[in-house]
Amino acid sequence: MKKVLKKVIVLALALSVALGVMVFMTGCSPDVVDMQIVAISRESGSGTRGQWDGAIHNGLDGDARQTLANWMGAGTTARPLAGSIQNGQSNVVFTVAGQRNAIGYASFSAIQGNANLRVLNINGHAPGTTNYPAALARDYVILTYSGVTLLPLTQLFLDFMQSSEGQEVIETAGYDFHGDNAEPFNIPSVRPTGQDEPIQIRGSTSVEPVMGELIDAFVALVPWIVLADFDFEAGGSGQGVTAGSGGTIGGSVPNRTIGMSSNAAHITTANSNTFFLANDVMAAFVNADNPLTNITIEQLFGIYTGAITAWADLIN
Amino acid sequence: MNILNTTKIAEKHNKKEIFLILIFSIFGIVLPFTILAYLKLKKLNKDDTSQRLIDSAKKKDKRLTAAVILLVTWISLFVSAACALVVFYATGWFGFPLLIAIVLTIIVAVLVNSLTVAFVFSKEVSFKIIFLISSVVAIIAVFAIFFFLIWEGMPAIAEIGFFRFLFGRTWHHDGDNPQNSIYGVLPMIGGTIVAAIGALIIGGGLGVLTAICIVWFCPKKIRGFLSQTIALLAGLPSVIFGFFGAQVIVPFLANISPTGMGSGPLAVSIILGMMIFPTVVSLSKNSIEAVSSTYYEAGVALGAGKERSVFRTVVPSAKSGILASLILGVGRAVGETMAVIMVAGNVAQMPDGFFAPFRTLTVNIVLEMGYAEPNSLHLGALIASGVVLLMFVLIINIIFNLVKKNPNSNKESVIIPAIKRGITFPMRFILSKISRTTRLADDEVDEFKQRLTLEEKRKSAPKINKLSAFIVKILPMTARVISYVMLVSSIAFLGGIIIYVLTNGLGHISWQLISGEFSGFGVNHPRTLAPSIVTTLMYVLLTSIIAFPLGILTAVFLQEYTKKGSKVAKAVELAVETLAGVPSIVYGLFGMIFFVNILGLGLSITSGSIVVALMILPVTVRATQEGLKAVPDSYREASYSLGAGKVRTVFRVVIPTALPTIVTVLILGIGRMVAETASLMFTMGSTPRAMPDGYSSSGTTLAVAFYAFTRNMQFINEAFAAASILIILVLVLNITASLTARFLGKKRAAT
Amino acid sequence: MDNSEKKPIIQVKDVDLFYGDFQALKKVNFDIQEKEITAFIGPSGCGKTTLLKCFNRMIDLIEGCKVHGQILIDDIDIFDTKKRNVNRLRKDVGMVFQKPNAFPMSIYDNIAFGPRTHGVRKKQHLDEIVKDSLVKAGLWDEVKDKLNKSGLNLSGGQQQRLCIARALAVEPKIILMDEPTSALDPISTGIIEELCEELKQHYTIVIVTHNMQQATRISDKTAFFLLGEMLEFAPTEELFSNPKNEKCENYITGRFG
Repeated sequence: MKKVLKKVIVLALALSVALGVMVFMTGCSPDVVDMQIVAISRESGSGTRGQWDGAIHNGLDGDARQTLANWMGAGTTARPLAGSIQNGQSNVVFTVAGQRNAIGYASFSAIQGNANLRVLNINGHAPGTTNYPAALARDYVILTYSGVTLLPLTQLFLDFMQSSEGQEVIETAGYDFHGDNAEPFNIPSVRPTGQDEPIQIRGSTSVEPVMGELIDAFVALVPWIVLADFDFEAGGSGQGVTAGSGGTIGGSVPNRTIGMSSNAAHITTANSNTFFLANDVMAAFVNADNPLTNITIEQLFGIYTGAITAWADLIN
Repeated sequence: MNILNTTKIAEKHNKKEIFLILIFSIFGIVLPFTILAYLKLKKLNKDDTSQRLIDSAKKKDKRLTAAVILLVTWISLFVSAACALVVFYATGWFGFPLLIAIVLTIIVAVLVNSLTVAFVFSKEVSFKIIFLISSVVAIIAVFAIFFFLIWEGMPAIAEIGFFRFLFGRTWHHDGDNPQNSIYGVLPMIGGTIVAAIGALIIGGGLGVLTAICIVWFCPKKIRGFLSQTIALLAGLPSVIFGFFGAQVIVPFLANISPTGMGSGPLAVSIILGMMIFPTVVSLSKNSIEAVSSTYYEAGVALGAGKERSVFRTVVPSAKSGILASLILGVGRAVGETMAVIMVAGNVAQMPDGFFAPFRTLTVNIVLEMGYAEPNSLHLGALIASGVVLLMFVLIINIIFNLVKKNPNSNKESVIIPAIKRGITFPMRFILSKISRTTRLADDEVDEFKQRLTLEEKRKSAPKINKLSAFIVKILPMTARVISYVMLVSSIAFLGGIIIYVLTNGLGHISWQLISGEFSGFGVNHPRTLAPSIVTTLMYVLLTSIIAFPLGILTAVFLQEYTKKGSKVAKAVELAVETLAGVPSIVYGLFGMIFFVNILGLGLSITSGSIVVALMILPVTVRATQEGLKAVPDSYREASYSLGAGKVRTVFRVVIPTALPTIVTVLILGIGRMVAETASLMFTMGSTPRAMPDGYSSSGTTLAVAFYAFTRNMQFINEAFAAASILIILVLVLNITASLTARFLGKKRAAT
Repeated sequence: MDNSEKKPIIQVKDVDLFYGDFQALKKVNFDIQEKEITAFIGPSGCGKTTLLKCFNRMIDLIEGCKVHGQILIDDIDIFDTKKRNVNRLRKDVGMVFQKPNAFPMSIYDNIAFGPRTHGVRKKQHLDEIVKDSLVKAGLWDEVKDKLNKSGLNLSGGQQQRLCIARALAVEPKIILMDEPTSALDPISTGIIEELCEELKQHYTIVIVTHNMQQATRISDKTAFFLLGEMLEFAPTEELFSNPKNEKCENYITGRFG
């Protein structure tokens, strides 16, 4: 009897300890105002990251820019703030939506309508309005290797994206199109020979959503094209630039690869043909539980260099 | 210069296929003669067992004939090789891939020729050649991986500077201005060490105490059930651990964190610790069980009590086995990628507290390998960091080999006592110098001893206060309670993960999800797992075809065809051990660069299958070898004495007896294939797409598709559903493995 | 040693055997007659099992073993690899081991293993051979209803008889037995000794035994070994009642063991 009792006590002890810990943890739920700021950023090959760092550097040059670049690396004088690096736009969205005291940045089109997030006005202006900081406006571009003739299906898709039908898709998806008016798309009646392998798309996770819509529309429009004709991977703008300039990254073959980049300024190589695809803006956003609605560029700079660490400093 | 009009043909078909066929046919004709000559020279077709007994002096004239045949054969071999090279040089396809293709073709041709010879000449010899060749694959793979790592990584280190690379505290790749990039891996080294130690403390500590608890404190009836359950959990995919970490643990920890952020060393330690927990438990359990119960009995007989006996006699005896299990667990933790990337924070800085974001070497590679330009310094730096990671694992392996008990002797390892002595020597030395106790002369000592009985000695020991006495009294029970708590909480945690996923996911498994057609990339199209299921099946099939025969043949070779300590056996075993230690992300890197880019296989099921096959080859070899070792020699003796040759003995007696183990190995291997994620993302694809057209299509397996779903909030339900399917699949595989083993084992004994 | 009606089936001529540098057999010379039971006796490590294992070349499995001299079975030197295929040799010279080592297969498959190895495929033939061997080994009645059950389920004595049946199934001329009853209880020992008496009508049996009483019970001739040398070889009654070699006498009378 004693032995059984012993065991029961032990078991009960174990369970109650575990339970107690859980209750304690979940019980602790302070207001966002009292919490520290957690800043979410992107990996270094991201076009979004490059553009963001450039946009919030607050007109500073030299050391200040380097501070941003070495964000959370050694060499910063300020103790870096808590935060994390996420690979891919959707991971940033995901993280901020799940963490009440987090702040992040991504394409506006990707986050509008997300009930777990609140998009911030920057300097008093909402994204998409005329006075929104110009540095946060982005051109999505697609690029192909200029040193080779594209295989027929790839060329066809490229033409589609630049046609008026393509523009329609882009605008329906919620993006702006500030490019020149385009011609209607001629659908060939028969599938051209010369390309058995899939059309490869590589690049930015920011462009990924609109590209997905374009592919689907193309497949719906052209009867002899199927989804299996597309090999679609989004590994970051860096991948897109390399793949679209003749590199063989991710198994891409230059004569059937279209690269996508969210940062036109990123493209420094001379051996690619670039085409404008869509306009978008970058937005900063916080968790829906966070009462903050407006933020300035200076404050963003402060957050992302570790100078501002508490939400209390921003929320009055 | 159009020999055989090859250019025109090449335009219609794949170039590589053409020259592979051409080379194959040339070698296919010449090589049988090589093998024939080999046979003559060695007179192997006469001797069915491996030992020649009588000194024979009649070889001289035979040797001459054999030498001539051999010479002629090799000349013709070189001539045909030269012809092949000329052909392709003329048509302009000369290059590194050609070389690789030639090497691969030789291997294939030799294999095929061995089989041909089998039908004509001695079965014994040709099988021996087949076994040998399979084993050599492991050696070739190791060389290939090392060659690749050094070839691609060393120039980068040279350019960056060895010390600046290894001890540089900043890692930043500047896409706009590559010349501003800085590559220093010290923060990542720190991160890997921190992750390893954290995993060791949590997973190792919990694991060992749980193992002790299972073997000694748990009631017999649930012991088997507990071991089985924990073993089942060993195969859970790492992405699911990572997902749970990101969804539950990190927000949880954020509530108690001073910075309000949950990611960091603590989160990573918890997740990694729980991942290695099943491994540590299983291996420690084996060591503890193996300790003879006489130690325990002796302790108890002296009045020591159960807990004291266990902790003071049994556990120290199992020390080296427990240590070995810990080291193995740490090795696994160091190589882990997907689970870490979801909870670590991923900032390239030295870990700075329990909740500071940090990066391990594995995460560093995975984060940036997707866009590192081929032949760039960036990629070279990533590969170099893979080298550093590999060094880590090799060091851990070496420690493992030094520490584990030599199975042939009963000696305890010499390392631990040596380390102990090394550490305590300076202390003892100093103590002896400052101690003021005088040494008694020998006869004085005897007299002294005689005077005090045990009781008197106990009474004359320094008095301890009541609190200490109380603590000493309840210590045994406390130890037992703590062990139980560890056991229960660990199982609760792991069970919690499964329950969490299943409760959120089972309800969302729909017919559409499992069998719906892939209708579009856009977010308005419903997600479907059907292409991923098909991709997974195709991938598992190909990987099994590559890895399992090679693994089993190599194990048979090592166990049945080599003498202990022979050079070939040692080389193959070393190669297998090394391959076992290579972290999976390094395989992914190697696969991405070698199979996807250089060989031009692209992102395809083929690339993924080959890479993962290499990954599970070592485990297959080792585990099969254990199964073969367990077959008693008396069976082999009986078979030989009845006139059966070696091949027959191996295939009709040894392998059937070891079948339960082999089948278990296969099934668990499949589980491992299903769970693999990081390497596949870069060799097979990471975006879900339509049904694969064939093996050259890219695709996502179930685990990778799950990960892709988690990246989009809109599809969180589908993600949970996919995770549920994944968990169920892995659990089913594990249960099948243990049931099959038991069933086959019973069948042997009772038909 | 003169038996004009029987001819020597095994002739051992000047055999020296080395395990590396250690000489395990020294200039062994004698003949074994067919259809008799010959016993090898001697203290541990004297080389009797080693010599036994030479007869079916199980010695081959031991590394570093070198044999000089000749062993002729049916007038053919068994070490001459050109004239004597080792697997065929092992068909003609069967072996029963000290510890019963039935395969983890059914009784039927255990017995059929040998014949299948040597080319018998037809079920009908195999059935006949299985029944025949089990009858000869005196095991048929006990197992005829459970031929499909595992051989490992039998008792020690039964397993050993199964091993004997298995050896008989390949139709050997000679059966070698290496201390076949040392792991068995007295009753099983008795059964197997009786079996040997019956088998010697058709087969030549060479038995290594530690048990001198066993040698006296069943063998026709006995050879005494000591430290690798065969010191005496005589008809059993003669050797035990009137040993010529002094050391042999000492061993038999128990002065050393």
